[in-house]
Amino acid sequence: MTIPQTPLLYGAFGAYLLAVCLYLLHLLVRRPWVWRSAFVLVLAGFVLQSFCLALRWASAGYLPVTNLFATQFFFSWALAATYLYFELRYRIHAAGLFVMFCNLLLLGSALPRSADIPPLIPALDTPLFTLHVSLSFAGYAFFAMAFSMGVLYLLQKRLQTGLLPDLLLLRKLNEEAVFLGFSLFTLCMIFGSIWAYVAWGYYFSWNIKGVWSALVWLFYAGMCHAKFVRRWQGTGYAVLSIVGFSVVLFTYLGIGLLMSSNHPLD
Amino acid sequence: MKISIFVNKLWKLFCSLKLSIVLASLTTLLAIGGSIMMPFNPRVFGGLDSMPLGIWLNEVAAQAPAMTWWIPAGGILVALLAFNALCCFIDWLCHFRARWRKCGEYLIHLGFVLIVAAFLWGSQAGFRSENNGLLIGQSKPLPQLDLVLKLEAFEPVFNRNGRPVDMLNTLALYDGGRLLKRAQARTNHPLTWEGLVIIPASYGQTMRGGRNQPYSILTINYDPGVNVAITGSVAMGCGVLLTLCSFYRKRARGDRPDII
Repeated sequence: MTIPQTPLLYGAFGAYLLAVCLYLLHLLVRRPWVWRSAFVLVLAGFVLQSFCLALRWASAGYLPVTNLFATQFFFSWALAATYLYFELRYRIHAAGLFVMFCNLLLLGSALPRSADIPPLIPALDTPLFTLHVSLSFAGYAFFAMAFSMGVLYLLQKRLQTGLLPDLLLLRKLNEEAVFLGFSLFTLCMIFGSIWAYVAWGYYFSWNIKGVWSALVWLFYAGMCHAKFVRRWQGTGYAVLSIVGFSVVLFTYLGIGLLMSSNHPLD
Repeated sequence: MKISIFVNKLWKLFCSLKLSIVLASLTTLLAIGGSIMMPFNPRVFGGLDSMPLGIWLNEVAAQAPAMTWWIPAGGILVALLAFNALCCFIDWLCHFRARWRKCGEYLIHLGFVLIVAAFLWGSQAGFRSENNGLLIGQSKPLPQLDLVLKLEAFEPVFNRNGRPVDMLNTLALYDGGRLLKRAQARTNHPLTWEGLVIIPASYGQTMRGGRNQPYSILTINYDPGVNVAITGSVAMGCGVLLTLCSFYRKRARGDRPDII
């Protein structure tokens, strides 16, 4: 049975694109129906992506997150889920524009690539792979949200506009995103270490990917402590969130694409 | 009196949150700079995973100190960070009654301490050995542990296209003739025994007695600290789950973090 992936993928992209346009419109037309429509479109896009992911998983027999297209697609799905969590909990509305724009870039850059699912190699045939990869991208998604909140915090501090949430809420969202991302990434590292031990015979690898993953963990562990220090609250924390996400991007894409590692993307 | 004030101040420094931020930042910056050299110097860094860190530092890093100093320096910073985390954990235990709600957070601290301690132990007292070829029925002594490993059966597994997809190794571990453990090791299912882990890495064929005989190629690693690392991982994992659950309750109650 052929999976109707293409309409689902482009349908999700289209929904996110329309949502971004409506969020932009909301900056000018401050009516509830505008952000509600944007939210419904994001939800629709997320449902389409979820359906596509479920179909791919069922067809492959494993969670298909093994190449660049698949990881970008899964990351985009996790980022949409993260946005929906914050929107339902905090009604962030216009703040969603930046996150959904990041999501558009992610999904948009994935679409031109082949969506074919490669056969599962024996080394990846373990539940530890599913746990490690899904928790990794869930953590990355929250770090991306923290990055977005950090950027918005710095913008709001400069613009002082009613279009964005107030500084206190943005700081609270940033701290929560970092905390949740760190928690999920810690679980990712634990399952990854267990898997490394049973697959390679050691739980820490000095491969560049292993070293930088540990650095990501250490950086965000530091951030979990920095929120208690008055001098680092607010602007400092926002800057750290932006820097932290650059470390995440290098670990995920930079190493995967530019260097030889034990987590190749191509 | 002066001594007790000094000890008190020293203890506060050891438990300092700002100290942990400084140590984590220094380690991150140092490792970011140093690790960029790694992919471009495979002769120096390529063998890091094939031997314990202690042996690598003595045999390889000592030949190229300019490129490798950041690893022992980073190790010292991480050890100091673990010491800082341990002091925080002990301090929390001493004030448990007032701070029991932070159980999850301090389990994460304990987990980190145990994992770092386990890594340092394994780096000094462990061993790693690759490319150990064994014919069926052949034994290999493991002199470091005074044990003998025997390959009792071997069977490669192929898919429909004839491509090898797995290797089934029936391995037995003996201590002076007494069987300690027998297991079928395959991909992601090694034979493990008290820090020893034996992994099927590959296989080959050789001509023996006029017949083609397959042989298994095994990776044999030993890490005495692995059980401590597992304990640390369990503590850290439980700490994360507890912290996640308590986070929402604390937010609902309006708890705000202490500001320093």
